[in-house]
Amino acid sequence: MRPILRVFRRAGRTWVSVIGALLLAASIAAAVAGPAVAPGSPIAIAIPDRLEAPNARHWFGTDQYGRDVLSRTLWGGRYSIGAAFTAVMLGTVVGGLLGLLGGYHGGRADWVIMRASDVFLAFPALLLAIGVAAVLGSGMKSIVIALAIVYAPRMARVMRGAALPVRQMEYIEAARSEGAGAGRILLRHVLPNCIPALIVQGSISFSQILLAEAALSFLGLGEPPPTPTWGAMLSEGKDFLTTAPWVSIFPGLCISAAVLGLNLVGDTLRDVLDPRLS
Amino acid sequence: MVKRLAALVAVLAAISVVTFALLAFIPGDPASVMLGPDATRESIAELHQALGLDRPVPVRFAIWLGGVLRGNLGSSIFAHRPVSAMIGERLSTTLTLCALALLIAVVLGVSSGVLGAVRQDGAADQLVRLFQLVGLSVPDFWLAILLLLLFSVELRWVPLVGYKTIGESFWTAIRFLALPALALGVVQAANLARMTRAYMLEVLRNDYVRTARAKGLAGRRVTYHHALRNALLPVITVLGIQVGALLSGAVVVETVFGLPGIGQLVVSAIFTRDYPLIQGIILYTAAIYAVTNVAVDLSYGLLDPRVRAE
Repeated sequence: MRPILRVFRRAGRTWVSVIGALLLAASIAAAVAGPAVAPGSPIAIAIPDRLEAPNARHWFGTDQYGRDVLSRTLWGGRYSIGAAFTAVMLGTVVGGLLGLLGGYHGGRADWVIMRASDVFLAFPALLLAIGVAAVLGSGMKSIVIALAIVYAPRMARVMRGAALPVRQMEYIEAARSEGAGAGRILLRHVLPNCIPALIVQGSISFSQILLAEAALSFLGLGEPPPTPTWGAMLSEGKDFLTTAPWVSIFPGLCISAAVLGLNLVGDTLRDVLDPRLS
Repeated sequence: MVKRLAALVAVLAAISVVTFALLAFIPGDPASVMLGPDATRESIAELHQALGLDRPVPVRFAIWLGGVLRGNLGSSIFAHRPVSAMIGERLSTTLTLCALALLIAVVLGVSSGVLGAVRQDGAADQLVRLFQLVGLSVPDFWLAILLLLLFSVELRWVPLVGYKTIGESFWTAIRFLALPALALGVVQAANLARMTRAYMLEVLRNDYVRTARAKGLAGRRVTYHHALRNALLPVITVLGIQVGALLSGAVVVETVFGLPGIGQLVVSAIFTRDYPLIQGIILYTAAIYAVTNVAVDLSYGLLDPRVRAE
């Protein structure tokens, strides 16, 4: 567990990392506990209260149906951060395994995996995600799959790069001479050496994926209304910009804060775990 | 050069395969999915026939690719018009927006990156780094909403409606595209500033910079003539990637301002499940992206004699 301690010790030294960690912790806390502490229902309609400016009863104001923007923002955090997190996990597992396999095996398998990832990288990322999500039909599940498809090739490249040098190591040969199978060598010997690269790439991509998730929901590819996601809230709010700017301002602030926190934490992790990259 | 162009052809071929495959992944029968639950059995059968869905996949791909190569991207299911014509009439808005945004990104990004590197750890550098952090964290379409709120709703500098394309009225187009270009450009500038600053710091540590200073050249001349030129070379390579980000970003930001570009077309295509239209837009933008990247690669060779020699 020493590397983890090292991360914390190094991170504590600069105020930027501390702020990043705090922002990230606040975002995660809001996503996990938000719905429990939300003052009201995110979907309860109260037409008489519509488009109220922020006040004591509705801290973030209300939207065009009189729904409490604070409650919607807290629930939105769970949906948006949850979707981005699931996409990162899915892309990391699929892309990471393929990258490891290519880097360790080399040869034809490596060639096929790398050319396939080249093909996906040839598209502007968000547009490919739009296409995949549109084809799968709107909903959180298609957004998650679309983002994972866009992200997996990036993770595959990084993991391949990390696995390539490990392949030559003597302990790999030792394991092989003891009769360990390819699967065992990959997971027990190659993977642990690639974990720093995995964490760094994962944390840096998380923020990009969160932004992309917001953009996809903003375009209307996410869960149908009334489910609150940050992107969808921005899209609804923009129609009432002149009369009720708070509907658009608060979800946007939350996206920015969460992404900023992720970026700062990602930078810190990179500085500590992979000094060559900084 | 020939090698680069051959690679471009390979990339374009791969792009077309993936774009075609997108439609093959639609769960269920594309014809009935596109027409929705209210469609009659006859109209589904008719669209099924029109899309050639009764033929095997390789044959469909060959027919589709043959059309694409002749500039025929198929017809929109909803508007009953050729997809290429629909994209064509909206392309000028999106491309002008991207060009303006790129201009803002390069000017703002490179100058602030240089400023940060020259005044390393000073007050100006701290500001530049703050700008990078915030710029990388703010969604461009939210920044667009904020700019709209400030300049159109509060200050009333830019009207909310009345856009004309660049072909109809140059200055009206620029006026309406300024805010969305600023939103896109600032976010990309943060990225460029980060890279420029990093490369600039690296170059400034080199021996030839020290030599230039030692022989008595003015600080300014060393910074701009010796250091910046070398620092900019790697920055240029990321411009191609920036174009991809700008194309994607423009699609979203356009919808904030209600501009009649590709973005609006994407949104309406998503809502009407107009798959040939979505397919056409993705193919088109990916092709633009691929060509830009090759152009960037080639220009890199022109600017750096070392690359050309290889």
